Amino acid sequence: MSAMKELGTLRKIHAAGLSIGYTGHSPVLTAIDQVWQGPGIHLILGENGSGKSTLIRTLAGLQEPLKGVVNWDEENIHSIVAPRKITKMAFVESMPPRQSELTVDEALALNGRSRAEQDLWLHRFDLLSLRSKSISQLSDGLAQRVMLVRAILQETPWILMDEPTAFLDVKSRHVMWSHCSSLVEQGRHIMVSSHDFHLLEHNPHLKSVTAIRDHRLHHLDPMGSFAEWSASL
Amino acid sequence: MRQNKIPLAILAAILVLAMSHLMWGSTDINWAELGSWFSGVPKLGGTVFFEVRLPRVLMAIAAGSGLGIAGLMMQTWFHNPLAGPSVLGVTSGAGMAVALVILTGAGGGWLANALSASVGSWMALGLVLIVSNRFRGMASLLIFGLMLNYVLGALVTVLQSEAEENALQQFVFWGMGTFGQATLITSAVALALVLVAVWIVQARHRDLDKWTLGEITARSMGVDERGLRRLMIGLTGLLAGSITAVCGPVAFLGLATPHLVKLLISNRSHRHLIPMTALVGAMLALVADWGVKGFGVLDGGWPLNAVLSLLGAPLVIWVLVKRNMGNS
Repeated sequence: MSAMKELGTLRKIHAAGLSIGYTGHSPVLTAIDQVWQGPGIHLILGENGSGKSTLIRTLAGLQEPLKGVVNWDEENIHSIVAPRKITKMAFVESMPPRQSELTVDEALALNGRSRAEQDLWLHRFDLLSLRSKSISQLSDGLAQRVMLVRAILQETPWILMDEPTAFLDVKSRHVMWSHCSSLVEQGRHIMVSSHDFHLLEHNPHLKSVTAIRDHRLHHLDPMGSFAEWSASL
Repeated sequence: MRQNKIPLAILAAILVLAMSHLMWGSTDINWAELGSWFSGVPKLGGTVFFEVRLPRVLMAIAAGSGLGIAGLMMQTWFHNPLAGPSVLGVTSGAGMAVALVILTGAGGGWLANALSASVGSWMALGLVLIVSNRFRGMASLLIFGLMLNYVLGALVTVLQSEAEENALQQFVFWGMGTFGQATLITSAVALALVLVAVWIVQARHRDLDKWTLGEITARSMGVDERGLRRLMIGLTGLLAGSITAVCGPVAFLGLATPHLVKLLISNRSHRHLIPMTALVGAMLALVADWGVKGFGVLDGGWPLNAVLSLLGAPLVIWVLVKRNMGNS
């Protein structure tokens, strides 16, 4: 794949003595020491309000930690300037933008990739016919698919997604996860928080499973079963 | 019409409108007297052209473009099609300060109004800036602006109830808005300011596009949220404040212009929206000023804000109806 050689490098995300949450409130999670590395899907599990979003945003450098540091490879993310940051990590929110009037083409063009590359991904995600539609006119599922393509076109080694399927119907969820698997086959790292983990059971691309319970992180067996994972929440 | 022809058509309309305003007015100009303005002993024709008509046209262009851009920035920033430069309380701040000066009988006169409008809008803006550093959500800031509007409006009402008839009348006139009080210098300064603002905003068009995709996504795409917010609020305050200082509180241009632009072109990237908003705002202001002049039919014409509201409100409703029909 020609696009691969342009990917920035980032092998591992390392949280050291990390406390996360919002300033002025008690921390959501404390004393996080963990490494996520290697291509594949890194799954974060947890009940609503357990701190999944806060964790994933902090690891992505989009939210300040209360204490401790996040290192991307050996670098503290605080010392990485924005233009380099965006070559390493792309982010997908759980709610696709409902108010953006940008057309699909205009939104994707913000990554500054070639038209041919953009077309290729629009084709792969079955979005070609919608290219001149405004995002605000698309269904949640289609809009989220556009946001995933946008993240892919950022051409980063890592894509972090915060419950990307939360607002999608069953079919769109399946489509989303199969796309994630094909991204992994191209050497990408995906970290995702989701309640949809039954859809990832026995997925050969699953690299790690981390559960949040009682304000702590727990490692689960990526080869484990849905029942085992559920029991540990 | 082809998309790329529309800006040219609007530019042509602006030129025609500007020319018409320069050529026709309540006084018949003897065009031979035009050059006399430069000679030191200006005759009536030269004075009317250079000190009345030209400043008024330049000011209308500056106010239309400037308020349109301020409206576009606020609508993008707040992800809200109802936002406008008056929403943050900037216009009310100016109104409050002018009310203080006029209604307490402390001043009056155009210079005092303009100065107090500037000071008032900057004070309101300062308050908004302080608050925007404390509040996390944008909705909170929007609500703060609305509440500020209510409080300032209430204070103005109190001042009005205490004021003398003469002062009250003067304040009501200021509130009607006009491009006609601009001088060559104030209109040139305003136009220069607007051009610089358009240039600065245009340089950030990608950031504004990213911003529409959501706060977190924009940040993940490298947008410096804090810097962008300061720029948006600062420029809006500067534009709305300085235009209000010269023209009084001008209604609707900020709110309506971006909506009209979105009806005219199908592009939604700010690279296209920004210049188009500047052009369409100027065109709307010049059209409205014909209403103020009275179409040569209405004796004396109507107040600017009345014309703008009569023109602007149906326009926005039309846009909404058309948009809804497109969706269903």
